[in-house]
Amino acid sequence: MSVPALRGDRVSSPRLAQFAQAWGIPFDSAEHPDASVLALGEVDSERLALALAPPVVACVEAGGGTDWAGPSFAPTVEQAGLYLCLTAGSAHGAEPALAVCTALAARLDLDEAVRQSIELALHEALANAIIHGSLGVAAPPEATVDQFMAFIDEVERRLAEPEYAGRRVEIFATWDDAILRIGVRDQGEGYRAQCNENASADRKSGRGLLLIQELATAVQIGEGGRRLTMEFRR
Amino acid sequence: MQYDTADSSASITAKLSGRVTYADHPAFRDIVTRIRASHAPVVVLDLAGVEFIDSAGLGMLLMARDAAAERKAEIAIAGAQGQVRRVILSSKFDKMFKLRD
Repeated sequence: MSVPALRGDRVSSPRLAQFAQAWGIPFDSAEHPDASVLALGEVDSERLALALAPPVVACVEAGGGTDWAGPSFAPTVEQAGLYLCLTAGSAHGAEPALAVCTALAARLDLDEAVRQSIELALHEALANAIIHGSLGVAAPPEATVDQFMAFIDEVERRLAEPEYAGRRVEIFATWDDAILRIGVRDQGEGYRAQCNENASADRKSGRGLLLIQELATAVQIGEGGRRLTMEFRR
Repeated sequence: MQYDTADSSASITAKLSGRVTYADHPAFRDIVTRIRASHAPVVVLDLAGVEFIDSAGLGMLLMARDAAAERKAEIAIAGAQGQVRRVILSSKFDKMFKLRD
């Protein structure tokens, strides 16, 4: 991997320079159209789909400080994998799993059925990371209609609170000839992973982790429930 | 997700399209409110235009089923195809909903 260059989309040069310094990326004010690290000032699903096209290896959402990336940024860039770090608020509406899997399919020549399985697994991991992790909203497993409506209201309230919506969600992928590894990390309080396969068939939540375990060849949960990594055969 | 509902004395149909995910919770709150307010004896969830559904989306379908059951209405899922059909069958929704083509 060559030394990464940084490019910003709707991010001012002084803010880019601060981020570059904090993360040890060489930075000058020249245009770097082929930069491997892209900072986004605004995030929506269309921008995200475009942002992850090669040669971008890492895409980060510019935020208030310089913590636009997390612990897996440097190793993923080093291995020329694919890295995305967004606030929970932006990730919630921007279909990050679809954007990441489209970008991975372009790099790895994935079979469409494989891409769909990976997309659903990553989507479920992200849903958990965003809603139960960074936004910190617990779902009652056997919700009544009114409890479910209250859960939806609570997610909306947290999305409107910068303290929660500004927490990060990190996606990092690396691969070799046989295996694709994808991880998701949130900034929530963590949880004790529970996966009750005997839970009732009509429960309204708690299916995500079961789906992930069906779709991935290996699943690991670490960091007190804040990190989930999955492996897939390519 | 995009959606609209059509309510008649015979049935209320909620027609969904696009991607049905956790991001659509507020829209589903509206759909469930409409199902509760309707007096139709049959509720139809038309998924023919849905290209992707996640586990939160399945939870929302079950919530619509509970809302229909509250007022003793029947509920059916129509038109599920592709990824949607695979996911609802693997979650045994054929035991909990009438499935229509």
